[in-house]
Amino acid sequence: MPSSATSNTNGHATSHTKALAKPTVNQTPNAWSFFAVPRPIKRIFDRFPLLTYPANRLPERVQRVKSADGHALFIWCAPEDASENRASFNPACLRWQAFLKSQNLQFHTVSSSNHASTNERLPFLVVNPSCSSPFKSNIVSAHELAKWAVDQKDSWPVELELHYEPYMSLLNNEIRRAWQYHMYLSPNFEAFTAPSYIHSQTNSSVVRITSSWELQKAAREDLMKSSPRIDVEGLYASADRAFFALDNLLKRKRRMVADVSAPSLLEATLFSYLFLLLELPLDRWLDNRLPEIARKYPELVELENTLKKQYGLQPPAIYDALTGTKDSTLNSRTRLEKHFGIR
Amino acid sequence: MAEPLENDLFDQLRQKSTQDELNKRTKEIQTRLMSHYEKQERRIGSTLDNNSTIPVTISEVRVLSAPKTRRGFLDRIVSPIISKDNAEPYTLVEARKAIDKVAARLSKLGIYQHPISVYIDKPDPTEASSTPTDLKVYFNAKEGSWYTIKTGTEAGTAEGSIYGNAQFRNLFGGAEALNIHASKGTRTRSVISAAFDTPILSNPDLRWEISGLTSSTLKPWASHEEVLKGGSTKFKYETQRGHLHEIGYSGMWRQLTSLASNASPGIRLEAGDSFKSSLSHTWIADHRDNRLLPSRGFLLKTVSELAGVGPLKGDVGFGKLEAESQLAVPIPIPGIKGDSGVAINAGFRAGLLYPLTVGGSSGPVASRFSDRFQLGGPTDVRGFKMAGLGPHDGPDALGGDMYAAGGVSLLVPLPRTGKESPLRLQAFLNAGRLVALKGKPKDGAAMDSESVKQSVKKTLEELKKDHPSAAAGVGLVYAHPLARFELNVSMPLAIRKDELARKGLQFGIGITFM
Repeated sequence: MPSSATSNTNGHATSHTKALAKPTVNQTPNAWSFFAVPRPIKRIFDRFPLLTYPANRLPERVQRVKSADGHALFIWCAPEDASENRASFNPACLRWQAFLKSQNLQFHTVSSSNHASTNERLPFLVVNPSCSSPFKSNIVSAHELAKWAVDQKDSWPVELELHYEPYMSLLNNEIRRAWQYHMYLSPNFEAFTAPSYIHSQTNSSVVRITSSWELQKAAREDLMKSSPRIDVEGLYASADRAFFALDNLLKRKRRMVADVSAPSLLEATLFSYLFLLLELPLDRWLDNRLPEIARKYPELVELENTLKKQYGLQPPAIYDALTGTKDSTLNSRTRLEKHFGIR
Repeated sequence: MAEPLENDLFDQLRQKSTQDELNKRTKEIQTRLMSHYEKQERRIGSTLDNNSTIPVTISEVRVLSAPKTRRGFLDRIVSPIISKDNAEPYTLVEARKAIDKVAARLSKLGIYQHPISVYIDKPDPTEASSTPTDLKVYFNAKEGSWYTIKTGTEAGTAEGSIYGNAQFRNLFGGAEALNIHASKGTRTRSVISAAFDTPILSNPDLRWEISGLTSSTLKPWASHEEVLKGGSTKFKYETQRGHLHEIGYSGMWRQLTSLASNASPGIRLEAGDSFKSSLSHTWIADHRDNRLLPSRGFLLKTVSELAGVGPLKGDVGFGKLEAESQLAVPIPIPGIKGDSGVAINAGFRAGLLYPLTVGGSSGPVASRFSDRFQLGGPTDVRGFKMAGLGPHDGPDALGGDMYAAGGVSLLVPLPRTGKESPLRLQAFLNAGRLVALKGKPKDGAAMDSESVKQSVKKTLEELKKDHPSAAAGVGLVYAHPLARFELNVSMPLAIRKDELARKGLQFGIGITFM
């Protein structure tokens, strides 16, 4: 009996197993080692199992998505939004959703949460097994998405993006921070953020309350990283300056380049914030300072309009619920309950 | 004169006694002791028999050495045997039975040191209130230590942990117990649990428990970590025939998180939070002679659960039924007197998950990973990896909604150690099938009660008709008092594509084996 197998007898826990012989692909027949299984035994082992039946059917929750074709982009969105291919309510997800659309890559969206991602962050892409090489992982995380898109299409101008690095930084810092306050710490949290991020995941009030508290705490801590106290006016003023700079950039770009080239990652990122801020009527926000700032810049509004049409994206269903065209007499809370409370 | 005798003794001592002789001597001593006890028993028995119809009354009962136990709590146990004024007197035998019953109840509470001794006395005849038939009964119930604290480390292949355990007994003088357990490890990342348990109406057979749990466990067979937070409350009742019933409610927040980088899309879809609010009933009838290495008797166990009910409703709705049985039959071997130690153990398990509508939703909800069954591994269907049976997406076991599994093993004592030792050789054949419910997922429409009924029916037929995956092997079994250890060499005979079998050695530790 080879010692590879006996070393395993001092086990603990409910179970632990180790194979005597595991038929591996890259086992060279000539390489002999102390741990190798003698060939006659291996030959007997290889004969088992005697019978192999077809594979099992997958459980229903899994089957529904697995049976769909194309790549799957896991994003934050309500389950019913995924089937209608609506926009994500999370800017980080919407940015890649928009970007992949701008690259004309075919994919479908899957409603998910941070727990589904190895790095606890959405989005990520599950590459359709028929398109991926069997040697590579079929999961593409957010920071690899740009490179993955390049691999799919050869003509993406990478060097152009470098030029826009400072502007990207505005989006990733000033605007993201203002957005964080706007969504997580202002009254909008109750009306918009909690229903979309938490209520869509669970019905349980215990889980909802705990998760809401945790989410707000995380947002507060994140904002405290850049300054010891949260200066709301300062946050919005910085966002205003950032939007102003981006508006200027768009103006210059329009003057320089006659026809608008394929939207870049910068534009997709800018679009993700603008779309989420501008698509909801001003009076539906419980705190509308940030959308008011964005609305001041005509180039930004124009960009949002153009790209929205180009991508053919619908706002998340919660926007419809909050806008409530049909029964406008209901206040936003009741409409929300109608939308998310009963599930 | 004494010399030759002494020499003789020394010679005898010098002479190495053979194993047979030793055995013979031990046997002799044992038979002598046995006959002594038997005689004593008979003498007591005959005395009692001669006086069995003497009328007696119990006028006073005292429980000694139990200062921490509440009087009201003990009253309920002992007062029923005190003779009422106008009641018929006991006969001596009846009185003895009643006293024994009280002693058994006291000892079952688990707070007194064993054994509880009983003394019977005649009250002072000069006392005006006493009658000639009166007896005084004393129970000497010495209270055990009121707390135990244990800490330790455990190590093994792929698992290492440190733990602490604290047990507090007889907290409020009514045999209440509080158990607190905490551990940290490599596979079971962390567990903190606390359970408070108390007898109801001083009845040790009827108990109420309330407990809380928070844990985090790695599940490498499905590339994730499961974080649990919740609480439960239950009533436990033991019938006179030794059957155990448990009825309880539990609320549990389950989180599938920290996925491995190679986690399959299937398990990624199941990641996230869900809350289960469920009522459950467990029934256990264990008539085996030994839990870990039975040679005769049977076990029947059913667990039924209804989720999606109760004050917290939750995200999942289903009815779940699970049954487990084991039968042990001794095999007589010609030429060996009495039990040969050779036995056949046969086990069968089955489970069904029926999707139900949870409060507020429009139709039955599809089952989630945390609720589905897993099958395979050294303690159920041997010869397969942990959760190696049923639907798999790549390396990940996704679980199924319905299963059936069965196995037969032949246990033979080792030739040298004999049937008294906890070692056995075993040969086994076991098979199982775990399937997901037949759905109609193509159109993406929500399920309704009628379609669920149809798909459960179809799946059940499929389970009956299709061939199961099977494995056979031989191995060694060691029944340690705390757990059973098995080391087997097995081969898969039949397997489904994507299922994970184990060829060769497999090691298993557990308390329940199929």
